[in-house]
Amino acid sequence: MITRRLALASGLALPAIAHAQSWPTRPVTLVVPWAAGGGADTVTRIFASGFEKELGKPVNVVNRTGGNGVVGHAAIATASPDGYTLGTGTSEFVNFKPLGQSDIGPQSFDLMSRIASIPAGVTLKADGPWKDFAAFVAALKAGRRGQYTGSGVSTGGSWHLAAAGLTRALGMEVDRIRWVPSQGGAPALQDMVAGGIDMFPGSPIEAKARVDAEQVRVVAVMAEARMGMYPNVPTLKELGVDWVFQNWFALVAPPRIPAAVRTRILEAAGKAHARPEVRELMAQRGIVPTWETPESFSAYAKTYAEVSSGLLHELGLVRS
Amino acid sequence: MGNLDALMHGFTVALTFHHILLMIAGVLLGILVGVLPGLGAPNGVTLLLPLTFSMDPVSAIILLTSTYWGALFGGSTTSILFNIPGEPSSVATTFDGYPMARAGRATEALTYAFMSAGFGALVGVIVITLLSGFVTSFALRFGPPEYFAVYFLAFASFVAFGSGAPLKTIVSICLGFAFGAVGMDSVSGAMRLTFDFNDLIRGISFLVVVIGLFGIGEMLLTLEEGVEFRGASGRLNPREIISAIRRLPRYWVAMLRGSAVGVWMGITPGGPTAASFMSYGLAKRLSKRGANFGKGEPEGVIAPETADHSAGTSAMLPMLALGIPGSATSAVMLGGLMIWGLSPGPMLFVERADFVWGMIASMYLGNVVGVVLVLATVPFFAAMLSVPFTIIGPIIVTVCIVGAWTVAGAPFDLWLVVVFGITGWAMKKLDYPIAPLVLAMVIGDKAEDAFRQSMIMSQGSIGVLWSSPLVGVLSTLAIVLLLVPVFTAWRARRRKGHVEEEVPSE
Repeated sequence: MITRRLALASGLALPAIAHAQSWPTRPVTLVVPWAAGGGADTVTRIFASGFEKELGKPVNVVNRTGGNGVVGHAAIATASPDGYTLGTGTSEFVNFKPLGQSDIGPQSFDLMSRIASIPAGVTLKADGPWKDFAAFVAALKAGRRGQYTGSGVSTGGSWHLAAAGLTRALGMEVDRIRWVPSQGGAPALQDMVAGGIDMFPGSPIEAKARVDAEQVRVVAVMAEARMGMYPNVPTLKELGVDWVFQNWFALVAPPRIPAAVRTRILEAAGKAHARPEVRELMAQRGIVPTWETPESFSAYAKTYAEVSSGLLHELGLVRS
Repeated sequence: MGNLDALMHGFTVALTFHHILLMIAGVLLGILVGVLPGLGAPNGVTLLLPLTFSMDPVSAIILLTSTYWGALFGGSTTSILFNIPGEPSSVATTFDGYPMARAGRATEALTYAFMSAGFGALVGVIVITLLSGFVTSFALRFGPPEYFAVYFLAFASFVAFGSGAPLKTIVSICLGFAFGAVGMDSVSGAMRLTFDFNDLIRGISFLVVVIGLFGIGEMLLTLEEGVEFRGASGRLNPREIISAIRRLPRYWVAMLRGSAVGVWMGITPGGPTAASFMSYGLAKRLSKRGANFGKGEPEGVIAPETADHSAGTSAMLPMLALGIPGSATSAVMLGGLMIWGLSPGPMLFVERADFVWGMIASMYLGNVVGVVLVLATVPFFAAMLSVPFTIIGPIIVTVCIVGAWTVAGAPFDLWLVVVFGITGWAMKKLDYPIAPLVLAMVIGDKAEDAFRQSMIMSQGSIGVLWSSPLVGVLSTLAIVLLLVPVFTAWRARRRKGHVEEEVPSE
C-alpha cells in the first residue's frame, strides 16, 4: 500500500519538482543498505523520526540489503536526484572498490554529513588469560603471527581493519591477529564466549549485554575520548597506542541534486539532528552523534579511505 | 520452581484485554502473510516493526510474535491445498499434505497440520519455561564447528532417507548448492557466480526460488494436464475437523519426535526450515508407515509441522538470552529489541523479567489463539479448492509474482521466478526431486560459512569437528546417517547376488 501511495504521489508531484522551494511535496525515502534492527538501521530510524518532524512529510526508511551493503549503496547512488531518495551511507562504501566488490565509492554520492559514529574497541573473554590491554599485547608480541584470532565482521570489513590497524600501531604485522569472518558482532561474541575466538575488535556497544553478564570485558576503546557507556575503560591513546578507529553512518544523496533542494535538505537535516529527542535516543544507545558540513565530511571520508585502503593493501585484500 | 512463579507473573502481564486484542490482530495478520507465498513471516514482522516503535516493549513483542505464529500456521495452508509453500519452513509439508488434499482429504490434512503445529509450539514454550537456564548455558557452547555439525546432521538425516534415483538427487543437491553460492562470499568478500549482473550481488533469494519451483512450476504442470483443477473436493464438513482431532493422539510418537527435533534445531539454532526437513526425513525412516510417505500419509504432515513450530518457538530463547537469532524472523525481532532499548543477553532475564516472562506467557496464549483462529478458517480455505481453476489459477500466479516482488522489490526477481517456474516444471517432468535442491540452498550457504570459519580457526585441520565431545558426537552421527543408506543398499545388492529368493523389494 505504501508503494501505491508513493506511486500515486510521484505522479501527482511531477510538476512540483520545478519549484525547488516547495520540496518536499511528498514522502521522502531514506535507504538503509543494512538489515532492519542493525546499527545503521537504528541510527537512521532515530534520525528519520526527527527529519519527519522538520519536513512535515512522512519519511520512509527502506532497508535494501545484500552484498555487504553494495546493493543499498548502489540504490542510493543511482536514485533520481530529486531529493526524494536519500540514504544512509556507511563506512563500508569507501572500500567497495579496493575490495573489488563494486565501482561505487565516495565519488558516487553527494556526501552531506556524518550522522553518528560508533568506535571500535578491544573486547576479551572475561575468564580468559588476559585481564587487561597490556597483558593481551604482551601475549600478542610473545605469540606467533596468526596464533590469536579476532572476529566480528566479514573479511576486509570495518572491524577487521580496526584489528589490523591496532596491531600495525603496536609495531606488528597487520595480520598478527588471524581474522575469522563472521556475520556480525553477535555471533562473533558468541564464538568468543564459546572459546573459539580470542578478541573482538567490534563496537563495545554490541558487547554491552555480555559485559553486564560478566562473560566478556572491554579493555580499551579505539575512540578519541572515553565512551559514556564505559567511563572506566581507557582509550588506546591513553594507553600510548596511536590508533583511532570508528564506524560511521552518514547522510548521503545521489549526485547532482538541484542546489535549492540541497540547501533545504541540509538545513532540515541539521535541525532534525539537533532535536533533543533525537540526541537523547542516540545517547541512550551509546551512539556518538556527529553533524558537520559537507566539506568537512568529504575531507574526513577521503582520509578514512586512504587509511582503509592502505590497510587493505597490507592485508593483501586489494583486488583492483 | 522460580521459573513457574515468574511465568505466573508473566501471565498477569500478558493477560490483559489490550494484549489479547493485539494477539488476535497479530495472528490474523500473520495467517494472511503466511498464506501468501513469498510474503513470509520475516517480511510480515519487518513491515510491522516500525509500528511497534511507539509501543511499550511487551505489547510490541506480543504483536510481533503473534504475527509470527500466525504466519507459521498460514504457511501450511497453501502447501497443503496448492502445493505452494507459503513459508520456506512449510516446504516439507507439501510432500504429504498436497497428496492428501488431492485425495479429497484437505480438511483432514489441514486439521492435522494446525493441531500438530500447535502441539509443537506448546512443547517449544514448555521447554523454554522449564529449561531456560540450562538451555542457554548449553547454547553458549556453540561455535562454528558445532554449527557446521548441526547443519550437516540436518542435511544427512533428510538426504539419506530421500527417495528417488540417487544420481538425480545428487544433481538436485548440487544445483541447490550452486544457487546458494551466488552473490558475495562473506568469508573472502569475493563475488561468486554473479556474471557481472548487479542484481545477482545480493544472491538468489531462497524465497524466489521456492515460489518459482513450487508455485509457478505447479501452475505450469496443472495447465499442461488440463484446465480442470485436479480432484480435490471442496466439501466442507465441520465434523471432519472434529474426527481428525480425535484421531490425532494416534500419532503421538510422530508428534513427540517432531517436537524434539524442532526444539533441538530451534535452540542450536538450525532454524525451522531445516528442522521440518530433518523431522520429515527421520519420520520417514523410523515410522512403520514409512513406505506411504509422499503418497498422502498423515504422519508426513504431522512430523514437519510439529518440528517447524517447536523450532520457531524455541528459537526465541537463544534470541533473548544470547542475542543469537535462530531463524530469519527472530533476527528481525532481535532488531526490534534493540530499537525498543532492550539489549538481548543473559542479563535481560534478570533486568527485564517482566518483559521476558510476559513474552513467554504470551507465547502460550498466542499459540492457543492461533490454533483456534486457524481451525476456524479451515472450512473457508478448504472451500477454495472448489473454486474453478480458471479463477483460482490466475489469482495464485498473481500472488506468486507479488510475493516475489515483496522479497526485495527488484524487477530482476520476477524474471528469476519465471525461470525457476520453468525449471520446476522441467524437474517434475524429468523426475528430479525438488526438495533436496531447496534444502541444499537453505543449509548450504550457512554450512559453508560455518565450515570455513572452523577451518580458519583450526588452521586447516578437519580434527576441529571432533575437538570436543559435543561436536564429535554430532559429526559422527551425521556421517553415520549419511552412510547408512549406502551400506544397506550395498548389503541388499550383495544379498541379491547370493540368495536370489530373499530379495527385499525396494
